[in-house]
Amino acid sequence: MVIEDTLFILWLMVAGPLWATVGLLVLPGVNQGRGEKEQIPATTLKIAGLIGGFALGPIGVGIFYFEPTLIRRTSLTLGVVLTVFLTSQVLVRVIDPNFPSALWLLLAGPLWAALAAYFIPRHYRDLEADDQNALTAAALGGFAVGPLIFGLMWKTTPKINRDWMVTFGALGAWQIYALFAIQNPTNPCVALPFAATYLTQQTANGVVIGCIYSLMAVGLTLIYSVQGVVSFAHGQLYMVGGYFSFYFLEHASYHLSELTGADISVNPIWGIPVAAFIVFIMGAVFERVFLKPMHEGLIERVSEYAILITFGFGFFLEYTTLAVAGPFPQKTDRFIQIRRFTLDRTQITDDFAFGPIHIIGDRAFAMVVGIVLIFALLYFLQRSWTGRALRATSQDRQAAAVTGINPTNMNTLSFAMGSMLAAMSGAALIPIFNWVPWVGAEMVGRSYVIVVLGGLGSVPGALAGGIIVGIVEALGAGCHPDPSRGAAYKEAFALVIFALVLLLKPTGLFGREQH
Amino acid sequence: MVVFRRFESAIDQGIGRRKLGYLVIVLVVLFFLWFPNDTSQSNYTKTVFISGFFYAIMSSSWALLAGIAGQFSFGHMAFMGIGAYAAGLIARDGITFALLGVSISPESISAFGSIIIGTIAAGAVGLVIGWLLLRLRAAYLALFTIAFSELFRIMMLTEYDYTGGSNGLSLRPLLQIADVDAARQVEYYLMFGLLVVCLLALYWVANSPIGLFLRAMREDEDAASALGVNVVRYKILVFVFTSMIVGFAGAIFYSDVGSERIIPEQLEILQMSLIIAYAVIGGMESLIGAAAGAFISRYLLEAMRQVVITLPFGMTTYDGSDAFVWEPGFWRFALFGVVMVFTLRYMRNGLLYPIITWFSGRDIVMKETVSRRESDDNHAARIEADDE
Repeated sequence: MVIEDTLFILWLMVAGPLWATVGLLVLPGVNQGRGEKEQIPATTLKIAGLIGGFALGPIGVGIFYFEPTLIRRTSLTLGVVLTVFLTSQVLVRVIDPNFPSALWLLLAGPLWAALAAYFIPRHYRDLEADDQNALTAAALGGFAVGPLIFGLMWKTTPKINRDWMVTFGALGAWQIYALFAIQNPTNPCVALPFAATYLTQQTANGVVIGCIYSLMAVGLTLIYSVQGVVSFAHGQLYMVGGYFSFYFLEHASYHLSELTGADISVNPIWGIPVAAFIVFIMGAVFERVFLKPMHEGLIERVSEYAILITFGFGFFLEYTTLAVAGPFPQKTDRFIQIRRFTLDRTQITDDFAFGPIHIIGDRAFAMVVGIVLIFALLYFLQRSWTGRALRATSQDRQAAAVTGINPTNMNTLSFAMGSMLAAMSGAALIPIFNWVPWVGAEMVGRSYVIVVLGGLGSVPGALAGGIIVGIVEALGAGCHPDPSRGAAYKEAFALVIFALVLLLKPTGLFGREQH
Repeated sequence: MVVFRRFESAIDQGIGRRKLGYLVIVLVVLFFLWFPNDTSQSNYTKTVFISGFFYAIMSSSWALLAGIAGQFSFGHMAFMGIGAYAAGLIARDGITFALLGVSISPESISAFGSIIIGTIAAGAVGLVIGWLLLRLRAAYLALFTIAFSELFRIMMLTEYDYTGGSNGLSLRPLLQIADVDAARQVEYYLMFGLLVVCLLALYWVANSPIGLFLRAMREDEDAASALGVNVVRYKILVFVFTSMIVGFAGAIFYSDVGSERIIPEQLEILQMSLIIAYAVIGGMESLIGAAAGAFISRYLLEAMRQVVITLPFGMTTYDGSDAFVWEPGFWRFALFGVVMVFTLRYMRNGLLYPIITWFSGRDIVMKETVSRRESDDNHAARIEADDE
């Protein structure tokens, strides 16, 4: 361990900066010998050289030098992540654990963020500069670089694009990770040699569960984009979907066993279409009876009515399920079992293994279901007549009506389909989680986070938001110094992001402007 | 119907509906004041009444926030929890301001002092949240407050070293009366008095010019702002005011008055949804309607724990008893949900709205206005002219 550590520090202290300098000097040479139109901005090349050199040494510089087309935002982001990881590894070893960085992060960071968020957008407005992203950038920057943000944004009021926010966000994340590393050097997310594996494992878990979260959030976003209504019954529809699947499987297995005399247990995948069908009809009926009058002008104060009526529907579903199914945890069989071939024997397990990374088979299966359904939905929305009509209605109701689309039917369809997607994700998750009637409350909180993060009304946004939330939850819970608290705070990490997004950028990452 | 019309006209010619309404209110108050002296009533019924009063405070203050000011907050229970938890923590651990060099030991704080500190804490958090919420409207506001209250609940659940986790936190008992019956009596009067005081305070705000500004904000925030209503100030004010009221009520209720400890389960969204349901059923835009809705619903939900239907004419059930006994369990909440949804759809002002409007005489004014317009020959012509 000692040798390893010393080598590592040597690499970081000497080789990392060295190769970063080399990258900085060498990469601008790429532009020589390239045509007028193929020129790459010098700043981009310098940044790529710095990051590539620091994170990957000669390999990074070489790749970027010989294949400059690879200098994309994605590869640079990956480089930033690696750099963050590596530099904090140095900090762990160099800085005294009692360094008051915790104080800086906990007090000074938010303080400067609040000050910057208050003053800088006003300053932009006073100078009549474009203040579209000023608030977000100011708050993130205040957190990341403290008072320096005033120096950066006050005098020249630069136009804020996404790169600014990404940079500040990455810097802030780096600080949090560094603080973490300094305060808690033995944490599994920090201590080498396991940290890399552990972080990858957590991230993989996050991505897997995030895809499933997305499916539910996509339903919510579909309803919102067409109707402008946030469904507060979504969590309960998800829960009910799981229960429909559960009861269907139980009865089907029982009756098939009776008929054939063999012990048959139906695969839970058959529960998904059944739950989808029933909840689709439920959603359609509810929409026709309670939401349709809203669009016909029979209700005053529509947005409040929509909140309350969907909320009441969820209330009814939750207590009805409690009365019918009781408060006992239920679970169905597994989707799949995996045969792992080893040298001496064939082992049956419940997880896939990619080197040291393990992914639970059922979760992977549910992820596949989620992704397939989301892409099926996207295909439906983009290619079929009905899907196009749905999108047209979401863009402009009157114009859609003029072209012969019946907006009333589109409303019903969107609510029914959104509810159906919630039920499908419920049916896909009941083999994984213990199912109780209040399981929806936790899940729906998460899908609100996802849709707001991705932008209400955007399907790709919901997918991206789901994966982000999944990763944040997995990393947050996995890296918390106290494991039991980490698990308890799992939801809270996402909720903090949620509150921040609502306050700083209510349109989310991909959203349209708030109506 | 004919009898009712005759009764109606008799009232109108006699004391008038408004006065009759006040008379009914006085009678109801007298009933509640007399009630604990009825020796045939058990302590259990009194406990149900006490929790009914508490939920009436919660519902009516939510009605001010959501029904009158139009701020759809789901964080009402969380503010109540902040009041109760702050009071409990102060009474147990005291507080030290390291920077000021001031330290307050737990012994130096009385039970009532801790309740006041809890109220101030709830108001302070209400101030911050109200300020943060200025930019958000309708669904976004609801989502943010859900996130806030869930965060608060998770924190209270997880930081068990301080808050006792799911075991809950005991507050300092407000009343120390050894005799159970006497204690219940005092608790009953305390909670009822609190309800009356809170309702008076809420009505005072709702009927003052501030109430008018709040209603204007609810209808159209931009228009109100353009007409000179300081939207920022009143939005924050209504948040601070209602959170202080619920913080105060919560701190008192959990100081061994209605319940001996505050548990994080009480802060769940499901509990919040009960309060919303009470307010909706009673009438969201009427404070007394929401309070009565909460009290009556609370009482009915308790009374329906066991439904006994006695059979007439000496009939017996298959096992020989003369009554059906049905324990609805969660079905009563499901039924409650159905009532809530249909109330929203078909009587959006609540089930008590017809009674309240009848007593206030508002429907007479409305009818007169409508009939005068209909009898106005030029009215239809004027509308046509306007259309053109």
